[in-house]
Amino acid sequence: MITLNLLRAEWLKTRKRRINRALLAIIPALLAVIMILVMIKAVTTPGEALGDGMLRDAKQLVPYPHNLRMAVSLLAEFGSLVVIVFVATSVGSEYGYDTWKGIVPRYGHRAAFLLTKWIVGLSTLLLLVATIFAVVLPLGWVGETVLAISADTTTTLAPSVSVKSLAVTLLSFVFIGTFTLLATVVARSAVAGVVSGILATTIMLLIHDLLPEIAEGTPLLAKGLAWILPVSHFSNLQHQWAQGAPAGEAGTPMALIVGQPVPVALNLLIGLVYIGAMLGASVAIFSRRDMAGE
Amino acid sequence: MSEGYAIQARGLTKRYKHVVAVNTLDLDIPRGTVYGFLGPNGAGKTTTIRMLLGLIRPTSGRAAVLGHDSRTGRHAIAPKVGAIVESPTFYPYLTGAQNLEVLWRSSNMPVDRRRIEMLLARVGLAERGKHTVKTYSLGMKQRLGIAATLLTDPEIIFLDEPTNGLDPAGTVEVRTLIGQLGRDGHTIFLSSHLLNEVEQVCTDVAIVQKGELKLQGTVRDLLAQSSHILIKAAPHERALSLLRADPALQARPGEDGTIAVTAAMDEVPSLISALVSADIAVYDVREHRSTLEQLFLDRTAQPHERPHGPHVEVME
Repeated sequence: MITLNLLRAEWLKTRKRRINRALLAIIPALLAVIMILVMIKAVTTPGEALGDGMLRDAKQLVPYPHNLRMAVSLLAEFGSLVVIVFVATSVGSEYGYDTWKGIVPRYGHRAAFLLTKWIVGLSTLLLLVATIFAVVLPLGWVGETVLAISADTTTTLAPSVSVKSLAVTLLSFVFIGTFTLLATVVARSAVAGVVSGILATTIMLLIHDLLPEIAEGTPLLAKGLAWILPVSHFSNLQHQWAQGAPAGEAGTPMALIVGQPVPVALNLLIGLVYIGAMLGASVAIFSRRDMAGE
Repeated sequence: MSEGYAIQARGLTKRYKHVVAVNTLDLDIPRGTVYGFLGPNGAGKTTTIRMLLGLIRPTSGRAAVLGHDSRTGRHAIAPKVGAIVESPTFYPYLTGAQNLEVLWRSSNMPVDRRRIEMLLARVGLAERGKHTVKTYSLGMKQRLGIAATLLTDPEIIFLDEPTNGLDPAGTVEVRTLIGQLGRDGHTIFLSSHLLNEVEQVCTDVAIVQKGELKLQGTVRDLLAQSSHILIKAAPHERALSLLRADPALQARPGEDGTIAVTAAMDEVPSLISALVSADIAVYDVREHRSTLEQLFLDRTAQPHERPHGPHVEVME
């Protein structure tokens, strides 16, 4: 159903849109600026002044694997917004330009166009990660070998933690992206997609953060919310699997609220079910609904 | 539904809440025809095209394109159909050639860049193919839209007001192109409000109003049936009586003291002979050819707006 020709058509649209290039460049550019500024400061500040933290900052940010951790942190912080805008404009612009009517009659499987967008979006997310690595790893190497900024050894940091953390972050992005896709298809508007994506993400994070307080008053509600909220599952995955917190009752916030250890496999399964259900709903709506023009 | 037809529809209906956009439409469009689909604004022309292309679902009724059901046979229909719906829309940040590439790949067919260049040249955009579409005029977008419909050499081409925004020279070019495509064996479904254009290029025509089919047939037959002979003779009453006495003829008073007779031109000599034999002086005989515009106005006008001119006989 999804073919190489459809993927190539979508990729051509994706790479030629200026907003996509800007979205792909924001986080790598920000990382590059931070690292370069920190390196310049560390190199240009007189030796006696370095004790107040500048060199320590440089040592904790620039060399590998600290640069990797910083990149994943920054991606987790700003990535969801990039994903929301990317997905909403990619799908919403087809409604805005009224271009669906030109391409949909050309292929017998309408759902393929939406699934192709989802796959190209996922590929673009991986391209973003690759671009980030392509920026921070060489800069880290320059800082470490050329500028002699050695890694801070007072904090132990395994690269695998950053990689696992990145995997969970990407899973949560796929969830947010798929939600935005659904919202954009339902509303047939890029703006509505962006607003819905931001609102949903903010509300879910807010409720997730309030879960301990809710648990104090109404533990049953908090328990139910913890099971329902996808953010709780991603958070548990982050704590328990990526950062290696103990699975016991006192180990992770989710375990504390539901009162029992939650297996990471279950977190992963629930996250994937959410993504699959939203993608299925998007495809069903897109396939069945009239395209009556703007 | 028969495979001999490019498009067939039976009872095709689209209802939006309380508005009936298309009402029990029946269409029979033979393969290889250039089919004009006429109607005033809001008649349901674009809604019909959208239903035939699978963009919207009929509320009731069904349609077949090339013998395949328009709802369930999309995979068989899609590769054989090219279309402009309402107005051509493109990705403004892509060049004309890139837009054609995207559309071609969306048909799941490998792209032939030489054909893209050839099509751009055919619609007069050879020089602008590498410019982004946001710099195009409406006429240029219309030309690019026509090129887009031809990408995969489809059997049926839907053109919805294809000359909108074109200058007179461009209009003539597109009209010539449509005629050429028809002669090449393509079935053209041309929705237009330009009656002169339809009369010039279409072999068949349908007139719709308020979602209902008012008229359908070949242009030649429709115009022939609504054309008549105007005879000026004296004494008028006797001439009218004599002509009315022939059951094969339909005679009635025309304008300016003439008699309007529905008859073929080859019947005229015997008519004149009969009148002269009856001592009736014949002063003038001329053919009054109806135009599609007269047909259209007569069929789409409200009863109180109907002109008091000659009655128009049409083939239903």
